[in-house]
Amino acid sequence: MSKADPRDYLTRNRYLFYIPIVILFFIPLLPIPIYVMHVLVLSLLFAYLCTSWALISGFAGQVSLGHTCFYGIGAYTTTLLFHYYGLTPWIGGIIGIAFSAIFAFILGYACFRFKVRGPYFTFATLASTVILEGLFVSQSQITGGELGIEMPYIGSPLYFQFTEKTHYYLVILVLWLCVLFLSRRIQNTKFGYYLFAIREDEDAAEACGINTTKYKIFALVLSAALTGFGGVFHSQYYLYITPSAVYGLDRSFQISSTALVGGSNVWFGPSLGSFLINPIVEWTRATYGGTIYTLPLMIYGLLMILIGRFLPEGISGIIQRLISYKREKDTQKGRS
Amino acid sequence: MSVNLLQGLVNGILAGGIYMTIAVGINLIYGVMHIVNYAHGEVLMVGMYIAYWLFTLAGVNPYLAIPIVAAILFVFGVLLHKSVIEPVLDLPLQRQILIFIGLIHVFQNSVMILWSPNYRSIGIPITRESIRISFIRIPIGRLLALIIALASALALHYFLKNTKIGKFIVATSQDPEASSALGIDIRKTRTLTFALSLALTGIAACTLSPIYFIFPYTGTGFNIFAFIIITLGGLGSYTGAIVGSIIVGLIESLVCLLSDASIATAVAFLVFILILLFRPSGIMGRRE
Repeated sequence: MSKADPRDYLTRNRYLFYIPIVILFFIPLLPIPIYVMHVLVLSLLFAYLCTSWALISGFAGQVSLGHTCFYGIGAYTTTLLFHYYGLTPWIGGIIGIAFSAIFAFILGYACFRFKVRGPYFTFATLASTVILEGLFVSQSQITGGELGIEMPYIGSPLYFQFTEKTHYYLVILVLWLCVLFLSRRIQNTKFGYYLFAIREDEDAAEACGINTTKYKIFALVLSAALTGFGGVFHSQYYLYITPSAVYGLDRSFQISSTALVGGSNVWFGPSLGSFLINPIVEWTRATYGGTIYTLPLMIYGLLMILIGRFLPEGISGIIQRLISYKREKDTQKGRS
Repeated sequence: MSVNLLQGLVNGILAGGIYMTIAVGINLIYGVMHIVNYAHGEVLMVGMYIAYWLFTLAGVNPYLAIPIVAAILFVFGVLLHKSVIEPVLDLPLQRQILIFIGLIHVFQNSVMILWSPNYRSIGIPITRESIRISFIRIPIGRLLALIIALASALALHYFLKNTKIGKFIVATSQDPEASSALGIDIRKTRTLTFALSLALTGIAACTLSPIYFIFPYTGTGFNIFAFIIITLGGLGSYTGAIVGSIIVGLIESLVCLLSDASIATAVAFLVFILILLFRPSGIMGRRE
């Protein structure tokens, strides 16, 4: 290995990795148009949601197509508590997260305890989303039904409401970084290895003495709690929620497909997918909106088919392959 | 009250018949290939558009268009299977889902570009009528959908049990390796199964096109119901699909009648989850 190898330099000076993160924190100081800021917030929100989704669906391989039920619980708990009791969303949000986690525990315990697996689990999550959507639509005296419910605007940080988009940006940035580091930690701990074992072969993992039910439930609850806070953020960012906006299956499918395009088996994969796809989709929406808006979506669909077919680990798989290829080459050089 | 209840039962069975038309097709594919065709509702939507254009441009009655639409979708099924589905079969669930979400996007948006997102409908007089038996009304369009669904399900059953190719399909679904060793061309059988399932969907599309609106997102609603039904009945189980669709249809219609329409679907799906807890592989499903 040559002395000037940049990789070697990076391994010795780990703090260099933190430079892009610091730059992200200073972006709001730049004169960025509000719309671009909105796209950034949206990308970060999806990066956050997809990374949370990947904890259960990527790491543990239990594909959920109904993650919006946790998202919606978080959003509705906060909004309803604020609307009726004037409780600040900071506390309401924590209660929302707790409700999401409890719901995930019930669903996870029910499904995993009774060995509901593979497509059966996927459809159980799908059904629970539809159930919650129906429930919130039907209780229209409380939730406003299909028309949704508004969050009274106060505009005070004490109530998780800001006057500037940049403040929302900073909040979601911190959240995303937290979940990213959490995901990275999990990948390198015993818990993560258990989940990978469950993904590869559940029966074999159980035969090795891993309590698969327990770890799957734990992964689901963790993922749901994080997703729940995404919902809290949604309710504060848009200040208006409807059952179809927070529980809608579109969002569920979007979370899964974005994460899978990026590659859901690595900690940075889902974020990669989100930062790649959301700006492109938003840009095409702004540019071709109303005329051939659907054409970019069709191309996106084709892209998904191609990625699913030819890239086993999504886009992050390419990066990983490049790294491992380089490493192999280096070790070969070292031997000769 | 009892008349209402009877009407509710009739409505439930009719709704079940509509779900059945799609569920049987998805289950046929799952039984042989062990993949869920998440884009099945979108195929149905394409079939409904074909029926619509046949009716609008050539004046073909949708019920008479059944063989044409079925044939078109059969060929389409062969092409789709060869190009997209066959390479996916051995991939893990996550990647299959990604590819199918991609397919859904492609179908919906290409139809949207071609024929705009406008709602369309086929107006033929017979579907506006209903049969009256004392106080109970049976809409003819829905009744025809149920009868044709049952007839095609029975025909499929006969085909699987009594013809050579049908027996190949059953053998492949039971044990691919063993049937391969016995000289059955598994690849061909799978292609045929997929195409056959799409042809069944074509039949369903023709019977549904006079009673539903036709627009690029028609398939999504059917999709969700079909998934829940086949999982409830047991993935790959033939009788399961029929039993499941009747159960879901009945629960929905009875809840509509007794309490609130907006919660009907939610209750049906809740029952689905509860049944899943006691029978993790569905009512008629095989333990895997």
